[in-house]
Amino acid sequence: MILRYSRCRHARIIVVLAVAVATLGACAREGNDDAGVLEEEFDRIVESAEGGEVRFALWGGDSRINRWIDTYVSRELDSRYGIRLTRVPMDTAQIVNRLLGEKQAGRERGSIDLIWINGENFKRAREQGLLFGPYTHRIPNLELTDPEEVSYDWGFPVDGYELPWGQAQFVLEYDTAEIDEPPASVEELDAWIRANPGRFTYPQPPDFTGAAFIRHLFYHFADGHEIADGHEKFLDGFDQALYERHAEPLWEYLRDLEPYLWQGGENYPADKAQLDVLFERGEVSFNMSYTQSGAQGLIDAGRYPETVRTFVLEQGTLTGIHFTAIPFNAPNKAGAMVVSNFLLSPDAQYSKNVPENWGDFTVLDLGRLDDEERRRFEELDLGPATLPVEVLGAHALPEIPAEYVDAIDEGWEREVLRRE
Amino acid sequence: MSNRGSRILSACVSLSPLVPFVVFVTVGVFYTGAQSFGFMVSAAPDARFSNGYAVLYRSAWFYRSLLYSVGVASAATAFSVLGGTLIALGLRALPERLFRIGLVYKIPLILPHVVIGLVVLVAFGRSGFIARVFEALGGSVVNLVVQSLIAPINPPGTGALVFAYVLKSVPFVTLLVYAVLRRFDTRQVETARMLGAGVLQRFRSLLLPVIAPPAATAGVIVFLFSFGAFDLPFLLGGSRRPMLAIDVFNRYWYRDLAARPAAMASLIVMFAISVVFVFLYFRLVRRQHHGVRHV
Repeated sequence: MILRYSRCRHARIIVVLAVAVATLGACAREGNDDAGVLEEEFDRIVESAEGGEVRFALWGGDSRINRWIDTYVSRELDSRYGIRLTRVPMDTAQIVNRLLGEKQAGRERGSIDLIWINGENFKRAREQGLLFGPYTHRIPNLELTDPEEVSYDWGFPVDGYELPWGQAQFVLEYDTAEIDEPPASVEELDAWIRANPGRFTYPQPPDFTGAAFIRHLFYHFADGHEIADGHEKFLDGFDQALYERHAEPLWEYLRDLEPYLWQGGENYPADKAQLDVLFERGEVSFNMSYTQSGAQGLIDAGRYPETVRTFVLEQGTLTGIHFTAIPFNAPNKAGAMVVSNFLLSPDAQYSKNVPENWGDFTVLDLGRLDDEERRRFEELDLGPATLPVEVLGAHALPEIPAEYVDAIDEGWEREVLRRE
Repeated sequence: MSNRGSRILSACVSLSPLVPFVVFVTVGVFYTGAQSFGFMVSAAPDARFSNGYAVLYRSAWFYRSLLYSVGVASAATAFSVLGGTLIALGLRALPERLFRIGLVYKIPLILPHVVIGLVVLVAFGRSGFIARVFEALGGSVVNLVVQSLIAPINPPGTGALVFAYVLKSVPFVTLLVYAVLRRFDTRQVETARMLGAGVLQRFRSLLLPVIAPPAATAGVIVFLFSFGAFDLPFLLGGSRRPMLAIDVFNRYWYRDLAARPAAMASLIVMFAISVVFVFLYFRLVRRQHHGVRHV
C-alpha cells in the first residue's frame, strides 16, 4: 500500500517537474529582442507596443503623483496606445538594488519596464550596466527639449540611457498664519531655529528631500558662505580633499544645531512623508519640498491650510532634472519607450505641471513648442503658494555631481547621526 | 522490498513536506553566509569585496545596534510575560458569567503588527489623537496627567517600540498561560490555604510550576520575534538607535554593493544569536524536566 502510494506520489512529482521545466523553457524562448527595438522606426515601435503591459516603478511617497499616474497617465496610455500601465511603488535606491540582484542572478527577463530615476541612482545604475540603451535618439519628443539642459544628470553624462521627464526646484514651506516673514537666508534660518527650539527639522538622509537640504548647507559652507560662488568648484567631478575640507565645518555646524531641532535632534523624520505629517499637525513650522508648486497642490487637496506659502533662500536653492529609464531586462522595452515618449509630450507635461495634479515643472524648451502649446504653459496658474517663475529662476542652483551626494549622505550618517 | 526498506520509504514520504523548507533555509543560509564573507556579491568577475565580519567588528554602531536590539527585545519580553501572566490569572479568577467579556484581550492577537504600529503612531504621538483630544482641556490636571503619561511612549522612540511589542504580545502570553491554568484545579490552592500556606508559598509551590513553562515558551517566542522584527521598528523606531533588522535593511538597500557583506554578516549574527538562545532555552527546560518536577 505504502509502496503504491509513494509510486503514485513520485509520478505526480515527475509530472509537476516536467511541467515546470517546460514552462521555464517557454519563458526563456520568449526572450527580448533588444537590438530590434533600437533599429525600428518609432511608428513601428508604437504598433508593436499595442495591447501590452508596462510596469512603471517609481517612488510612491506622494499620493498626488500616484493618483496622477493612476488616472490621467493610465487613461491616456490606454486610449492612445492601448497600453496597460501598472504602477509599482518602490524607492529608487531599492529599484536599482533589485536590478543589481537580477543582474547578478543572470535574470534576463525582469519585471519592471520603466523607472523614474536621476542623480546618484542613475550613475550607479549606469556604472553597473543596469540600463537599456542608448535609446533616446528613437524618442520623437526629445526634440522638444534643449539638448544643453538635458544631456547631463547631476554632472554625469546621460548618453541616451535616460529620457528627461521633469524639472524641480527646492523650496521651503511655511504657514503665514504662524510666521509673518520667513527667513531670507541661511543665516536667518539658523537664527530662527535657535530662537524657536523644537520647531524645525529635516528628513533623515538618504531621504531625497532631506539629503537635498543638507546639500544646500554644504554649498553654503563651501566658500565664504556664498553658495552662488561656492558651488562652481564642485562641478568638475569628485575631489576627495575638496570634499573633506568643506564637509567638516558642515558636520560641526549640524551637530551644534541639533539641540534646537524637533525632539532635540534625538530623532529625525525618517522621510519626507513623515515631515509632511509633522508640518500638517503643526508640530514643526517649516516643511521643505523638491517640487516648486508642491505646497499649492497640497492646499488644493485640502491637506494644507490656504495660508501656506513657499520661499527660497537668497543664496539660491537646488534645481534638478529627473528622468525615466528602461532596465536592461525590461520585458516590454517597446512599451516602455512609448510610455516615456508620452510622458515627455506637451499634453502630459502640461497636465503634470498643473499644481492640483502634481505641479512638477516641464522639462520642454518652450521655444520649441508651437504658439498655442507655449501659451498654455505660460498661462498656467501655479497658484498663490507657488513663487513666480522669475523668482525661482533667479534663485536656481545647479545640482552637485552625483559622487558628492553619496559622500554627503554617508558623511551625515557618520558624523551627525552616529556621533552624538 | 524488505520491511525495513518500506519503513524508510514511508518515513521519506511523511517528511517530504519539509523538503522545500529545508532547501529554502539551507540555500538561504549558504547564500547569506557566502555574501557575508564577500563572495557572490556581484556578478562582475573582477569585483572584490571585504569580509563583512571585519567591517562589523570595527563598527561601534553595530555593537550599539546589537545591544539595543537585545535590550528592546528583553524589555518587551519581560513586560509581555508579566502582563500576560497577570491577565491570565485574572481571567481564571473571573466568575463564569463575566468570562466572555474577558475575551476582549484577544483583539490585538488578530491585528497584524503593522496595525498595532499605526495605532501607536497615530494615537500616542506628541500631536497625536490622544494628545489633541486632551489638549482641548487646556491646562487642567487631567490633561497634564495624560500628556505626561503618554510622553514616554511618544513615537518615534524606544518607549513607543516596546509599548507596541507589549500590546501585541501580551494576549499571546495570556493565551498560552491561560490554556494551562484552565486545567489547573483551584481546589489545590484552597487546600493549601486551609493547611496554613501563605500567599507567597501558595504561589511559589502551586501556581508557579504550572504557569512557568507556558510563560517561558511564550517569552522565547516574543523575544525572538522582537529581536529580529522589522515592521514595528520601521514605523516606531528612533533615528539613533536602530534595531538590527533596520540596520541590515539600510546597509543592504541604501548603500552601494560594498556594504552588502556587512549586512549579510549582521543577518548571520542575528541567526546565530537566535539559535544559541533557543538552544539555551531547551537545555534549561530539559534540566527542569529531569531535575525538579514534571509538569
